[in-house]
Amino acid sequence: MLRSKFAALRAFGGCVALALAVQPAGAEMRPSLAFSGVTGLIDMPSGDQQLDGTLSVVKSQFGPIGRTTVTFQITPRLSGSFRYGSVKDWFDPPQDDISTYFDRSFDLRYQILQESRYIPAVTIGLQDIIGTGVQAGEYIAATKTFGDKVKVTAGLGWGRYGSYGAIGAPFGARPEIDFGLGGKPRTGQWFRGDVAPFAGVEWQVNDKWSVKAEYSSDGYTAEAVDRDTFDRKTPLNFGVEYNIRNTIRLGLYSLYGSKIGFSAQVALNPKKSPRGGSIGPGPLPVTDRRAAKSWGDAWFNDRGSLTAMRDQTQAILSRDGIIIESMAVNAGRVHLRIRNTKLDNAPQAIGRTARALSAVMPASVDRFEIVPVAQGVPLSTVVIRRADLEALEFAPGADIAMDQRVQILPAAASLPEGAIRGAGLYPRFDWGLSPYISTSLFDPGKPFQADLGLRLTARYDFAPGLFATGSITKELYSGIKRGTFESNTKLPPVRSNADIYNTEGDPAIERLTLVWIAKPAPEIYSRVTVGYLERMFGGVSGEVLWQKPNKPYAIGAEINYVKQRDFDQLLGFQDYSVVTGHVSGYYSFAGGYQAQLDVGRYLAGDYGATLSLDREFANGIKVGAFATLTDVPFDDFGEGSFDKGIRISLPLAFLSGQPTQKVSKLTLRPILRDGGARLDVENRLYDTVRSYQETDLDAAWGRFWR
Amino acid sequence: MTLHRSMLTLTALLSLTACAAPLVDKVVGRVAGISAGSAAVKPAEGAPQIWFTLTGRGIKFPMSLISQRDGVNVYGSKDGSQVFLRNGMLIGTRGFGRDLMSAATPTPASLRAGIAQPRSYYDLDGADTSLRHQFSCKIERDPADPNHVSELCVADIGTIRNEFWFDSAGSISKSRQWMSQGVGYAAVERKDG
Repeated sequence: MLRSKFAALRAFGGCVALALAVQPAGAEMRPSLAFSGVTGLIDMPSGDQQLDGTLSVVKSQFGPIGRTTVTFQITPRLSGSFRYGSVKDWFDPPQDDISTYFDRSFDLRYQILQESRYIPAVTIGLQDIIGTGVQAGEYIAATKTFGDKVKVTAGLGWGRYGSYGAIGAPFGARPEIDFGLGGKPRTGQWFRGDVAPFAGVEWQVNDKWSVKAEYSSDGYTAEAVDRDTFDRKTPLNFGVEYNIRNTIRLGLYSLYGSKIGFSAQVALNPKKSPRGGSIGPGPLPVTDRRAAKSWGDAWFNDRGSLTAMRDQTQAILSRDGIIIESMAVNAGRVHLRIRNTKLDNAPQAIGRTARALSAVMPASVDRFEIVPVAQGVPLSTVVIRRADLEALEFAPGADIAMDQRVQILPAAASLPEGAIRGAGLYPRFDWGLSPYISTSLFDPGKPFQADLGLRLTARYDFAPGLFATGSITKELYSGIKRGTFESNTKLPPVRSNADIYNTEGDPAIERLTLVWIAKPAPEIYSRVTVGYLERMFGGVSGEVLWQKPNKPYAIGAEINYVKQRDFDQLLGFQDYSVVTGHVSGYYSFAGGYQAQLDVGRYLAGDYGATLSLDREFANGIKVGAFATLTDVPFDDFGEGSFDKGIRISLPLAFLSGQPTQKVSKLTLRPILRDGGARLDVENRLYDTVRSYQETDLDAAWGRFWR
Repeated sequence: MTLHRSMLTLTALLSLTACAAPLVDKVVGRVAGISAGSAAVKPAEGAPQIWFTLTGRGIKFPMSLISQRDGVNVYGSKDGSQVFLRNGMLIGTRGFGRDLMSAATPTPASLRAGIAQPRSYYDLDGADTSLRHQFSCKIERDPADPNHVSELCVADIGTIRNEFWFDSAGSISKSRQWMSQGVGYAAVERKDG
């Protein structure tokens, strides 16, 4: 653990700087978002980028045109957007009772120049790279800030952005492309065809209000000319925006001389918690060992004393939802296994455990071995010297100093000699009842539908790592209706009947499994799951994972034999069965980027590989994308050509500041089909294991003393 | 508060679309008879108290001594937030949001003697990354009040002004000290009665 992980911010030297009045932070203009959800003006993009890591959602509407866009600033210069757009009155007369056209699109933007004193910020953007191409357009936009109030943008656009006021076609005609099933990049069209200039200006009147005006080069050829869904009278757009605490903006606009538009923009900066950080209660301070509880001379090898030590430690840890799995004490060291059920930060749980031990352990015990346990298996051994704890609690930069002194070692499955278990853990029965919402997105006729109901969960722990779990749902409000179109898949319908599963199954057994997680060697984990593994499949699933605690990589393998479940999601099965499995590699890159490669056989019997890339922050926020290519030809796969999507995890603790491990997870696929589909079994090993390995502990170590 | 609500909207959007939420994990929290009772560390009966004021938020509340070790007094409030004072110098806070995780500060004696020393403040950004802010400082004495000393410090993140009032024994009786960018200043007063 010898990684320096604080950004040292150097002070201005001496008294010269003292004389300067320091401007309040935030005087600079925050980059705003356009109707299309990317950084920009009103309907036109700009050369700016959002702050690194910003996750934004923009909902906009004018006349028949509506868009909802999620954008992530992947690196300081690169951003990606996923958009769901709609055009009312597109089908006239309606087809299949549908008059609104819905379409998904994906953009990438790269900032080739960052703004400096004389140079504007310049960004190249590719819009709707792999969708149907209805939104397709490319642009290069330059933005310069004047003072701290005015931004001027000018750019050149192709495709959509070259469809009004074109000045030529420098790179030749734009080829017609049959997008076919969509899902493939149309590189042949990029920067071809007519090019048109666009421009605009933004004036930030004060902290709250800003005013925008622009000249748009988007002719809305399909929407306004071909299909007459609205009247595009002028290329000029105007608007005002109101900024609420730098996170939300609301805008009201006049668009194309004929329509009033609005937009709501939410921008979330993962490095800026809404509460400033954790507001949960402070820790029990470190106890001086001279003041720690005295156990006399007879405590050693005395079971009664050991039980009392365990119970007193547990009483302190219970405040933070930490459960003692086992404790072993000898003259010089304590070996304590804990389960963290409440704190969202792993080093914080370890820090609090260490401080609790300092209050209870006999004075001679100087070595604290804290072993976090998940699902019954020990994950790593964090070794802390009691003397370091005492010396560093109030030291400047205490977290970094502590990080350098602790050791992270592998943890063996077997308990040390003389260990006693936590009270009342095995066997143990628990249950819970909670409401749930399940959603169905992007159906062409009904793009957003939801069911509401109750979920009953139960878990029985037989022994560490061996447990039975189940969950049953009962619908209370049924909003999800059978899909507009039947599945037309050419593959076994392993996922494309999701609709039928959604509308049937009331009540439904979501899962009912017997799980055995074990650790056959200090660096090897194993899992066997038997039963109703997920909503659509049941069977047997086995997995092994090799993970050294101090390595940023891990390797795993999983094999499953599964049978498709009946649509009613009770006990029965359909005829389809398959052997599916993958070999997986995981790697944590510096700076919080995480990659995973899975190679193997998918549910429909297709062979291929999935690559997933995520950007992860130590506070648990994750944003990532994945794509799967298999031997299923694009034509057989159907719409979308191959499986891909984006996923977002947002821990509740980041928003509330309170200690909780609840996480909101969202996976967005443009379309869910049968190729490249993976089994959705619970308790996969890597996610169970990783947060207590050195890489993740290091990244989150700043909260050891919290 | 509007900000908080807006975040909840986004969360709501995210939770709404989270199709199959993780199941049993949530049940586990009730294992081993953990009660959700107050997690705050309780002070001993009759423990010494201070008045603590978050000047930016306009909140004043008492805090009680909960620990004394290594020359540092830790005071805790009813709701569990804590401050660490070394001879009256604020060197840490817990539970205020953007907390001061640790700090290197001058001693009261050097302040009183007019000897300026650099300060280091360590805090966490929203992604739990440790940040160090180094300030260079100078001391200003109050010509009207020899027991009042101001410390002006500057760093890349701005200028701060800490103020200290000493008693006749040379101890800090009252102070106004900077905590962090998110919270601003805190005033500490003895509550001798």
